[in-house]
Amino acid sequence: MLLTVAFISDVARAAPPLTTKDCLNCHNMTPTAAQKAEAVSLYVNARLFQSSVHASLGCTSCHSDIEAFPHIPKPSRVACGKCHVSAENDFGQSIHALKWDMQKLKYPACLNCHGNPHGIAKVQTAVWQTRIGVATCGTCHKERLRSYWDTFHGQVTGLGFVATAQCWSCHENHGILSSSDPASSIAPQNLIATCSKCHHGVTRSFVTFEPHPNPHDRGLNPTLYYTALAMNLLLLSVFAFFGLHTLLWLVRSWFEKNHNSAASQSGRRE
Amino acid sequence: MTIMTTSENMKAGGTPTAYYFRFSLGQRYLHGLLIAIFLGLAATGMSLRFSDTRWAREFAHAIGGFHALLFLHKFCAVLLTAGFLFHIGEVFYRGLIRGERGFFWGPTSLVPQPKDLFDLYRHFKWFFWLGPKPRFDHYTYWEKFDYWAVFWGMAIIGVSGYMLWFGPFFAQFVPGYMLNVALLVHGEEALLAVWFIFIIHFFNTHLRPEKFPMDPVIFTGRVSGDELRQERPLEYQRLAERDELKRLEANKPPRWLENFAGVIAIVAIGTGFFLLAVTLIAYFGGF
Repeated sequence: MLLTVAFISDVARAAPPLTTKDCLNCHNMTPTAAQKAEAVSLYVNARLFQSSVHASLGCTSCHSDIEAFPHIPKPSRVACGKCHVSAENDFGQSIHALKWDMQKLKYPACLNCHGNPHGIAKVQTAVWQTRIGVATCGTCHKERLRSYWDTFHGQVTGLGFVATAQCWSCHENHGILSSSDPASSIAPQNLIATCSKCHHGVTRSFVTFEPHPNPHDRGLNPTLYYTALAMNLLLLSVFAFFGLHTLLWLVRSWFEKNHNSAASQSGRRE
Repeated sequence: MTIMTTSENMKAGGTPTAYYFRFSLGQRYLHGLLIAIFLGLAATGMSLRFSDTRWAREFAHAIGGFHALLFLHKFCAVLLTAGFLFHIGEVFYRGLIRGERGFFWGPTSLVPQPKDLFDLYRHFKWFFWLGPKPRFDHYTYWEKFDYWAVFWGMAIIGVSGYMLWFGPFFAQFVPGYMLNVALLVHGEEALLAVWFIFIIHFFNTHLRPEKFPMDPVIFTGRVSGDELRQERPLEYQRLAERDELKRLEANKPPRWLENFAGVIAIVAIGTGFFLLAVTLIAYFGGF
């Protein structure tokens, strides 16, 4: 009773702090077709938001220029860097930021990789890193991801384990630099240091390992190309020969057995 | 040939029996070990080879994760290496030190002979009803192929596997990109081995109509006289001429041993066919 009175008197005094529940009263409504067609969706999936890494923060932590209802019609963009200072700083130096083009949206900023702003998942999980994270990089870097799956790093990641290298283990994440930048983690002079994050006894020779191999590309690595060709020929010839051998044998033996059981062990009839 | 002398053999007491020893107890144990290790290596290795499939992910998580998977793979690999070296040692001992007659050449040797080529040719003729079944000796040409395929397979998969295990060490002697080559060779040769064993070896040895559902000789160690006369007439003839049959005489394999062989065969062939199916689907279709 007392609480109710206190609540009512609060409302009467106006400008109560908005709770997530207040915002979702409107923003969790199923959007109409017209709303869906708008460039910026105002719909927030409440269930998705509750499972996101930001669920406990509440809407106004990010949408900080909204203080009361009714709110201003065009709130400003959310600044992720307000909290994620080092990520913002690193990103500012990165090749992604340098090439970022707002019109084409070809190079990624925060949400291109981290997804729906109201459903941002915790990235320090095996599921995110091995399933979502590498696939996210792969949406643009398709060929690099395909060749990654052909390495031991990729195989272990494919099984869902973070024990080996994922993209950012070698390339950095927010602060990724162009491979031609001498400061890049994959610049030739930095390779030994980068591989040494996981491997012991790394030498100049060791870093000639190709983390993105392509056995079909003769120019990239002729040894790998010809080895793959030889292995394919070996498999093909063994199975062609023994497949035929086995098939013919099966048919002949089957006839022989049926004949023998009829003619009671006539043996070599030919 | 060293032939086992067990208490079972003694019990035969010289009375003529319809069974003769073919494999020594050591050979039988070694084959049992090889089956267990091979299945372990194939299950863990093929999960990595086809890591984008659901069965691979579920198997890897079920056995305890990445470290368990890799531990099992390396554990089996070390055991197989030990078995391989033991076998090489045995070959050296029997062939060179003790100098067994006919070990490296002749009708009882595992080394391919000119006769094997003729046998292959005659076998093909028999497939087409164009001639009689070839008269085989102690080891047929497909048994020799099985042996040498596994022999070189172990050497190639073993060397490339140890290269991957100790990458930075081997990179001191070869360029680092040879580790790319090693992974490719390791995976493809393993696929060859797995498919060959689970299709060709299973059929040639166990599933063909004459043997179906299995040939228990590798576990019981002995064949019946009828079998020996029909399938390896040259060996039977030679043993009879040299009066060596008596030395190989065995009693009928005991019931428990036949059942034991059957259980191992069901488990091994069942596991093998499952791995065969999922790897074939993953390689050609993907699901």
